Amino acid sequence: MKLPRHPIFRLCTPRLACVLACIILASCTSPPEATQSSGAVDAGMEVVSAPAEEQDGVPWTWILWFLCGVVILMMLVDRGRPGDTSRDTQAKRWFHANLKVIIALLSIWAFVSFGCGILFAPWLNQFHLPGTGYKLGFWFAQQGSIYVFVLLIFTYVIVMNRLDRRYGVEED
Amino acid sequence: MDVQTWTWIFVSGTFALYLGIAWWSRAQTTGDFYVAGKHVSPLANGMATAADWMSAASFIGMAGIIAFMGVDGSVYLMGWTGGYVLLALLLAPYLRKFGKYTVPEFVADRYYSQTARTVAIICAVFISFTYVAGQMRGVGIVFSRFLEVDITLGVIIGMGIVFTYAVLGGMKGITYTQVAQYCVLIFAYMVPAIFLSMMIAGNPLPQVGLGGANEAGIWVLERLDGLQHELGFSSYTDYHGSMVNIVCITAALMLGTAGLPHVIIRFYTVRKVRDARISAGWALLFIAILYTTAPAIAVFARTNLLEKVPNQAYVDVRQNEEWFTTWEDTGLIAWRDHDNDGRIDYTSGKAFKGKPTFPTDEPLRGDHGERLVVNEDVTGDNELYIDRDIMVLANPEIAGLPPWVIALVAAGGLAAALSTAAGLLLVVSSAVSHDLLKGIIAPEISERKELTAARIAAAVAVVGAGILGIYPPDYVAAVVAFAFGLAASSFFPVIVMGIFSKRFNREGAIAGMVCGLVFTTAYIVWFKFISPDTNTADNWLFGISPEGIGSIGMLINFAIGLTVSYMTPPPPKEVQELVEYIRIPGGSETKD
Repeated sequence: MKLPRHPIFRLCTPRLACVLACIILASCTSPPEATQSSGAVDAGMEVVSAPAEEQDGVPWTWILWFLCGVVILMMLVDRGRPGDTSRDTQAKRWFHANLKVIIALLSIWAFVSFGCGILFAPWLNQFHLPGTGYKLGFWFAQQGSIYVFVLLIFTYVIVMNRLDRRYGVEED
Repeated sequence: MDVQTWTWIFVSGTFALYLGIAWWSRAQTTGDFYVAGKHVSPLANGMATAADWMSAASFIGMAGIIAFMGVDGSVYLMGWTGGYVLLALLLAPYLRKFGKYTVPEFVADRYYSQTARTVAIICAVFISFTYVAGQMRGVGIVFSRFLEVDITLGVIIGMGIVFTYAVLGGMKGITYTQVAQYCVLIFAYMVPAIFLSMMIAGNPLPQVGLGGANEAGIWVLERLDGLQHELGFSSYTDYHGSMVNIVCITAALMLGTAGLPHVIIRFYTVRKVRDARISAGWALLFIAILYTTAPAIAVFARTNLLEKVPNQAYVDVRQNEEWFTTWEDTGLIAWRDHDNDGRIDYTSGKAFKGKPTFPTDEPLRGDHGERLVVNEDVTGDNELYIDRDIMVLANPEIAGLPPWVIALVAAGGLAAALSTAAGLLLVVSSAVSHDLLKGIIAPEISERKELTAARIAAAVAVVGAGILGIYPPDYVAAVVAFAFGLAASSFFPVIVMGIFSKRFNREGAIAGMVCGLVFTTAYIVWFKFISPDTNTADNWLFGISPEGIGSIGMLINFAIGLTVSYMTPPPPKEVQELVEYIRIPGGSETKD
């Protein structure tokens, strides 16, 4: 049977299904919210809060919301995919490839800092960085995320220099 | 030789170096003055950006804040480094391709509007002035603590130095002095850290030492968590604040970092787009050296403090720990004996309300020789007040390091404060001479006159900053959150959309900027100035503190901007071509 050509049916892609599944699953699981102490971050350890013990489950909710965001961004970027017939094709294709690189790297950026460094940190804290006294969540928050940031920028530089050459937009 | 002699040697030596560089790199043209002729190598630009970025707050304050906040202090570590990823991927290459001189100029050209330019000028000047006041104050404090010079005289000396190289050399002079200042400050930060790491964890790398074990074979972090627990503090390695708030503060700091004009303009100074990308990488690498060391210093300092002070008799501490006496005399440490047992009880909670104020007439000292404080009492067992800012400065003394290391820290603090102040002053001066004067008031002004105007504006800005440093308004600490909130909610969305959307137009940009600004400003002003008593989690919007509200402001800016843009006509053809032009590298390289 031939599907009707209404634009709404063109939206029915595997990625949209993925987004919907993420949203549904994420709303079903409850977030592993850490102890909601009334103290400002400013007050820090000066405020004695209840010990955070009850939150050792895998933080699925956050992971699902995160996946959902990444897929939506990918869909947005692909809306502007250049066709073969467009003018300045090389430059346009270069820019589209550039956007994909940016989204991939920023997903890692958000996953490591907001994810491992903050939202998953209570869960990760039950592990240690092998051979050291670092609890894993603490390490991501105060050391690991910063190392990853540096690596991300240098990766971007290398990938972009190659893209520049491949699409013929490099500088003298 | 004593600390003071060493300090004089280091401080005058580094100042002579800065002045020498300033003379060697005088600015000849407006291009030199605003963007160092676009001839800076990526590595040098990386160092200059790092020095520009790391202020007195990063150098002196950050480790102390982390020592007192534990893992919650990570918002600053991640927030102030993560922004560079956004900067490198979303802003730096395209703004370099654009190739003009200032941030307001980009806003004006992309949004074909003088109104947008005016809003941008106001934001840039306000953000920079907020920030610079704190730097000048930092210079004054270092002078008064280490050289026993009056704070006012210290600020004036600092002004003189910045004046010479900012007014003479503009961006060119600032860039090369910042390279020197980066070397001074990172050396000064690392030397005591390496000493401490050797002493506590037996490993010269603080980043490794923090994860290492002490002489007794116990992990350094585990030992600290144990001490915290014993004394009644909560764990150092677990978060305490609400997660939503921590995420929002981190995001606001990251977005603010990427939107601060004095950081953005550094990427205008390199030769080509490719150099802009790599220099962001170098900048973050150089910043990361300090930012991964700071948490180690925080833990070492806190461990030292908790081992040496609590539950000791006050008289013994006074006798054995010279630093304790010195800092008590400067009013940054205070002790009030609640239970009259002569011991220092240090646990969570406040010793008394607010910062210590001392009595004006006798008795000035208590039964054990401690300085009395007249602050209002609070209930609780804690008896000790320690100012967070002294952790980095007092650390070498607490650990008993040699005098030249202590002197080095003073020179490093000055380098950090001066380099940031210079970068900020240049933003103020170019916003006035280039954007206000040439862009709006007198477009046909000659290059020579514009250069003179830029120098005069820089001179006036230096004096203004100095006055703010000598007579600091009470709200300086509170307004730093402001600077980041404003940068995040005004510049960041408008610049990013200006590059990545051809549909985003003048109406959208102005509406977005104004709404984001008004929302953020109103929220911060309400909780910080109008009704500070209600500044608690229960009253916050979605539980987000004023420090983190910039990220909501940014979302509002995006949402309003997009809505208004799609309801109004698209930008004219020239502007769409400009967007196409800045997206693709190539064609804007500096020719020799």
